[in-house]
Amino acid sequence: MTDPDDELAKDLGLLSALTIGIGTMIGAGIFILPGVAAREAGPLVVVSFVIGGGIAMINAFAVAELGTAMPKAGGAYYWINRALGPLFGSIAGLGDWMGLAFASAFYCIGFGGYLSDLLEDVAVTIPAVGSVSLALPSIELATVSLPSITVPEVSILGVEALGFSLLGWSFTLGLTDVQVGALIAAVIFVGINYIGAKETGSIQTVIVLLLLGILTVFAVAGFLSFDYSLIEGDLAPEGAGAILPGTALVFVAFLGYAKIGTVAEEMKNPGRNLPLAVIGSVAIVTVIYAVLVGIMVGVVPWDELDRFTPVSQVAEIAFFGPLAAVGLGLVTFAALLATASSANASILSSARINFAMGRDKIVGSWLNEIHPRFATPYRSIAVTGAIIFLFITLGTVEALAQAASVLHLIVYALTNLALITFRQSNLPEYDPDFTVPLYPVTPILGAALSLGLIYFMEPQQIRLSIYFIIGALLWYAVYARRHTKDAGLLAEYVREESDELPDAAVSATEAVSPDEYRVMVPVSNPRTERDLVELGGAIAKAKDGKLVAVHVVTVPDQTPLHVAAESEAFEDGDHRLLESAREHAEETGVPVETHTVFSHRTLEQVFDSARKHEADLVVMGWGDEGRLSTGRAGTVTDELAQNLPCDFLVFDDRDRDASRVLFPTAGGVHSELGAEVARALRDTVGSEIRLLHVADDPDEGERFLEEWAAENGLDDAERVVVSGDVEEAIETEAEDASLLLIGAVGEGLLSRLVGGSLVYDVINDVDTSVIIAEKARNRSVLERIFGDD
Amino acid sequence: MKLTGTVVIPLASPDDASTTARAAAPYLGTADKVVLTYVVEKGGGAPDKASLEQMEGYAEKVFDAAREELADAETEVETRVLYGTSISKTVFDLCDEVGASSVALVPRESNRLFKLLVGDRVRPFIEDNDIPVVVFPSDD
Repeated sequence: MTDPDDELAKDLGLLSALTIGIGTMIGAGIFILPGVAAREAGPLVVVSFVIGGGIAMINAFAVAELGTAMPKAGGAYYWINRALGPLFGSIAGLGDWMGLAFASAFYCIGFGGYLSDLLEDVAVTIPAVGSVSLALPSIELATVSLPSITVPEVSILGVEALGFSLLGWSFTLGLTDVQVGALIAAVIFVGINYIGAKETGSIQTVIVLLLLGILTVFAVAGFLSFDYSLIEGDLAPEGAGAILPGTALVFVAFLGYAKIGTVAEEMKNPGRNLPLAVIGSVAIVTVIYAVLVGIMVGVVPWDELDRFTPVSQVAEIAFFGPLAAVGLGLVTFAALLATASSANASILSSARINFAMGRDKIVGSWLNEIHPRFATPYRSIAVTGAIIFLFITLGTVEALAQAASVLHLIVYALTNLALITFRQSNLPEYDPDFTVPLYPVTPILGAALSLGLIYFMEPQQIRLSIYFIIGALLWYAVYARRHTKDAGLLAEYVREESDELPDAAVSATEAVSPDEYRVMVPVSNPRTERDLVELGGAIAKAKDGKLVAVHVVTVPDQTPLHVAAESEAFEDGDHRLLESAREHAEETGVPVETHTVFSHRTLEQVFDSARKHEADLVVMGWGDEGRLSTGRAGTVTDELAQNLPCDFLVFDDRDRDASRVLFPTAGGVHSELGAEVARALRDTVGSEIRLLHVADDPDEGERFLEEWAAENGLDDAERVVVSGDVEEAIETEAEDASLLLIGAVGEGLLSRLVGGSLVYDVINDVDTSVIIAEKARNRSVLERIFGDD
Repeated sequence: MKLTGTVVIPLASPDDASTTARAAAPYLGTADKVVLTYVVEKGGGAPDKASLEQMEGYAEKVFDAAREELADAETEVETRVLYGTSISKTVFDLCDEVGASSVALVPRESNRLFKLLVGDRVRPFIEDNDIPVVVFPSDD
């Protein structure tokens, strides 16, 4: 952990942070987009920019608050994962990452445009060879026509998700000169980050100040050439309705302020500097965009602005006479610098997001290895680089801009929801130095505007965002859910309040939460509570899991459940029992949660609770729930008992400790569960384990038991192989044991227990305590993801 | 030859840590203390090459690799993560702070291209030093 006092570790000051924000944003807004956007919205494109700045500003407040509360690497991803859990964390992390890759590809295209423009007229004279043109080539590989396959229309919530022609256009496989330039740029920027070329703070600051200087000169020159006739008359030739689609297009120009959040951990005094830098950079670039774009549409007619290099085009008119060449050169230089710094900053922050995702195990640690020579996260940068190359070859400038915006807007919306979650959960450690004004209006507005703006994107990009979310969900279900631990604040909240919230909400939360091993202990009898909790705690501890203590209060049939819940008559024992369960669980050192349920049918309720709380194992007392239900044996059908919701341990406590465990086994799944219990007892309370196998052929029996013990991690246990009658053998061996651990034979242990027909009579003949283990049938992956109903 | 007093050993990667610790171990018998250090290279105002927390985790891996080689040494071993824009200057500042009597290192195999790309990491140690710098031969 970083020492908070370490001034050297945290060396980003306010100016550095501001220049990261401004440097990332300005490349796109001025040098690439005005041409494309003006064709979309007309001269009113200025309003599009201002609206975009407004939306960015509302979101910037949220970034500032969360950044001062948690200045951690990864920024938005980290906050969202922490608040909303790894399901949304996966969407946010992958969204931010891919959004940055799209944005980087877009900046590279911008760079490529100016580069090919610059080289177009350059020729170098090499003696012996003659004059060689440096103009970038277009590469045409082939023209491909794809057959038309129409996907049937599917309407989800009124939005047509599919229902478009999947294939069926012909395109030319090849690269334009701009794309060639963009690929060259991408190789350079990725390479710089891969080897970690040494950058110093002053270079970044100098670049941004230089840019601002050149833009000021450009603005003045442009203003002097401003031709009012160009914007007289119809200001909105494309209609006022084109303003918001214009905003959707130019929003990519504001994707820089959140990057300040990804390097928050490196900032000096983040409580003050982070809000100033985030909000300040949005304010500054919005003003610059409004002024410069306003001037540009007054110099070149809006419908003639160049799609790739609008600034050069304006400069050619604005700088005239002897200044023409100088002005054009300056502006081209500024454009290359600006797009380069945007791409560079984006690649750098994508590695931060990868690291933060790796820290939560949403991606593998492979991605985040540090290069032994360059001390850079080289794999993360190389993978991001490969994705950028792909996007450059596939996308147009508009498509890349919108794809980047769509994914970022999803992340921004989630950021606002994360902020609301943090605020509502009243965490004492959530203590931001900066708070958003007008809470909760601002974050709600931020989320709504972010999602609303997506509506104005091209349908292709909206579909892309839907596919992307589906992809992120699949990633979560297939990979992240198995690895990540932290469930997030929202899930904790739902679990804690689960007694009040509808079952469906609780089950849904449990179903999407990470695979944490949960041991449920139904407690109803003060005499057995401690032993059950200790046994459950030992197993939860061995599995790095959690204990869920549930008090099932049996209510007579004639009393309605909601009456019981409010009645004091049922309340008293309950609190003391759960409190002592909590204390005993805390002694074992595992996290614990407690719940109370009221039910007419105890055993059924145990099953229901096990499903609702996604228990992996239930540890239940024998005389407790089982016999209570015996009186109503008719209600416990075989069907119920044969479909165990999870693994079960039934514990018959006869006041004996767990120091000497006898574990008869003949293999099978139930014995494997027994072995897990044996290991947990061995590792947490130091039980001695003795394995017993009854076989007619002692040699074969010995071989079997040795192999079985090794497979089940019990090779250090004592092994006894005898021949003869199974029950007699158990009885004899149990004489100097204190606990008999036994796997169920076949399915349906519980129904037999309840029905009184015991699996082994032997259980009555020994005076040890007894644990019977029964394993549930395996649930499929689909059931795990979508719940068991 | 034996090293005495406090010896500062800068390390660059887990492999470098193993190599250096292995090379240094035979000479450390009479030293009072060994200070292993990893310097996180800072941009001095520019964002770092990687997340701070990521580099601190990396430093732990580096130290673990060195500790493994020094497991049998009877000398006291201390580890320090430092931050600085210049690695050699940061290491020499540490030497002042802990009153080191020498710095020990093993040059990593390098070539012109590497030196051009990331700078020569050894040269500043033997050109700007104000205390003895011991350069061990690498065994691999």
